[in-house]
Amino acid sequence: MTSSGGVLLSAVSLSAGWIGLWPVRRRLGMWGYHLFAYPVGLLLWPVCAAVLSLFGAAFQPLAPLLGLVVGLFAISWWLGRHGQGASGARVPAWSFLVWGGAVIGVSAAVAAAGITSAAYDSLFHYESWGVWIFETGSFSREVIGLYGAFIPSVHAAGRFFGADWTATPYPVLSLHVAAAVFISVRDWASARIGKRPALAVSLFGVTLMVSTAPYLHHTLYVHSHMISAAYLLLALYAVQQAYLGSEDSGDRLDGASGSAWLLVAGLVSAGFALTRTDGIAYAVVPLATASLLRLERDVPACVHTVLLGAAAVPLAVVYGSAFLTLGRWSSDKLSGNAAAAVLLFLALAGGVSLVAERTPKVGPWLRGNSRALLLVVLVQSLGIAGLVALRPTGFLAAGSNMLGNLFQAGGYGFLWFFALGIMAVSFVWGGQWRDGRWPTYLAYAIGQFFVVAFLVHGVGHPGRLSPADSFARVAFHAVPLVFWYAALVMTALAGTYRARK
Amino acid sequence: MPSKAWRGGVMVSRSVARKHQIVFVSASVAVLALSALLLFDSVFGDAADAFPQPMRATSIAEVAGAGSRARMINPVIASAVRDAAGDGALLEIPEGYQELLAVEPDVFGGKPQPTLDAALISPFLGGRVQVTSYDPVLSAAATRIVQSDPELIVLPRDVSALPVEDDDAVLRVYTDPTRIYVYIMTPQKADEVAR
Repeated sequence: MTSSGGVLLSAVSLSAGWIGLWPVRRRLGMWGYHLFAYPVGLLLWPVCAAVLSLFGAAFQPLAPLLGLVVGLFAISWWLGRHGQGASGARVPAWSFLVWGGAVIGVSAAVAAAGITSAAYDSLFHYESWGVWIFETGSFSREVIGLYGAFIPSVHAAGRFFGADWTATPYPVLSLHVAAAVFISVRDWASARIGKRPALAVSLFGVTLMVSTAPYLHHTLYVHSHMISAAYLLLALYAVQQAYLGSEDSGDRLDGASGSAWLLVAGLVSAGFALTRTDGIAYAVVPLATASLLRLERDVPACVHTVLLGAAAVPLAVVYGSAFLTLGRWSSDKLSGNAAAAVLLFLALAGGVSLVAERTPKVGPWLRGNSRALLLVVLVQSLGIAGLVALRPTGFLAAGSNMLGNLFQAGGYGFLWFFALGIMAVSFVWGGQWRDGRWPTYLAYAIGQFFVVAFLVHGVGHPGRLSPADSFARVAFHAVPLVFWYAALVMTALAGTYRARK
Repeated sequence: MPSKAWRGGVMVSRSVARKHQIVFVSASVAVLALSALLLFDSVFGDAADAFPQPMRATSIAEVAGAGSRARMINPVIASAVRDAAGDGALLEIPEGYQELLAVEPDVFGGKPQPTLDAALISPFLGGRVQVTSYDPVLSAAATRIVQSDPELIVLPRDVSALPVEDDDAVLRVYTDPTRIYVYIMTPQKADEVAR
């Protein structure tokens, strides 16, 4: 076993994403293309493992990986060919060197230094079941029902390339999170306050984020949290780019760029859903945000189908393989019945989001500015109130532990006070700074994340006051969104200052 | 004094403009203060103490060796099997293995958990773990012979293994009379050192 296995894993994953998304590279733009290549490549490993699991043969993933890359290339090509509008600027060769160098450089540095961070879960939830997949070529009830297919499959791939301990994906995805926040803020701010102030605001936002203790910890920690945070952030970034664009003009979907962004949004949403067993519940966050934007922007159903299809296919392959090989598995976390129910709900919600605008009277009303968003918030609030009334002890205990972990015991220091303060400032001052729709939807996404967390923990396990508590760690998934939002608030302030001058 | 003013390209009343000014200044001050406090907390706060410290490790055995839980011995045993006999070896562990090791057990939810656990070793060996009836405790003399073997592979958490040539070997878990040290070897080798 060699430490270069992690570097090989990064190189193959990045190359797979680059090749698969090659036909839509111009549609995604230079940095969009590079940002999504590695996460999409990494997503192919659980899909490979699911395919191999059907045969129960040894873990030899290169042939299925090649097939998946060719399939993704064909879909990208079809989307790129059938879209209209400008194809976008060329992706220069030097950018491959820069981004490839950054990804491989981080991987090589981590592998050479042998630096990592691990706890009980890292070994017994992820590495152990990665070895299992590598050795047996099949999923188990533990993989599907307790820990999620994504991370063990990536660790199996790391072992295939020679790594005895797979540590490289975590810092590489941390790099992606920092880059995604930087690029999304820079592009948004450039259109409003000019390039230099935009650079300053985006650098400041990223510096604030990466200097916090939880961010530094999860950069090296072998667990589901940096992966989940990266996929959630990238899914929302792609949704924003697809429906609104950085300038919030909403004309993206006139061309093929929108479809390309929806393809990657769907794929990384699926990745987000597969990183943990509760991930399929949290996948509601990007999918609901996209569906609400579709209603508001009156986007054709066929375009929205690209997003839902791209999200559904990896989930269908992984859970389809699990149902075929394990039957209706039992589990304390995600049983076969629960998985089927959640997947069915997602499929139904997706279906409703496709036909909602065609419903007489209701459709045109929903299309009005923010009405669908307000309706969802209202229905959810009533639903949560009902659930809390039915199961008061569990939800109150969960809510109390959640607040205790965010503000006191969870290891976040001042971070969530900062988040709360920024939210308060933006809502108090909101009437004056509402510049574009995206800040509203980003705030909704952050709120929706905590609604899902409250439901998951209120129905399941209420947790405990500790940094090691499940929710205390899961809350990290929303941290990049908080800094993205904070940077948008700072951009609005800077814009107001410039206007006053 | 005019009652109107230009703000952001829009003509507004002076009172509205003043209100906007106050909100803008207070919002700016709040965001700057929040950012400064967060940076201060990141640099001087103790939030980092809540998380496990990074370590230098490139293998399962090294990571498990650095861990604080007694049950981290299980992946080290799996690594010992691999190091001693390659990827195809089968591991046998004794009946009553839950009580075998005299190591302070981990406590989860107020309940002590067995240190040696077949279920925790199994995924690390692709399921090639079997519970069998045999005497796993070596004599002091046999332990000394094993420890003096020049080919002994020493791993963290007091786990050692004697290598074998056969890729499909069957290895067993043994311990010394103090039940602290763990030795991985074939039953034939254990018989040999016992004689």
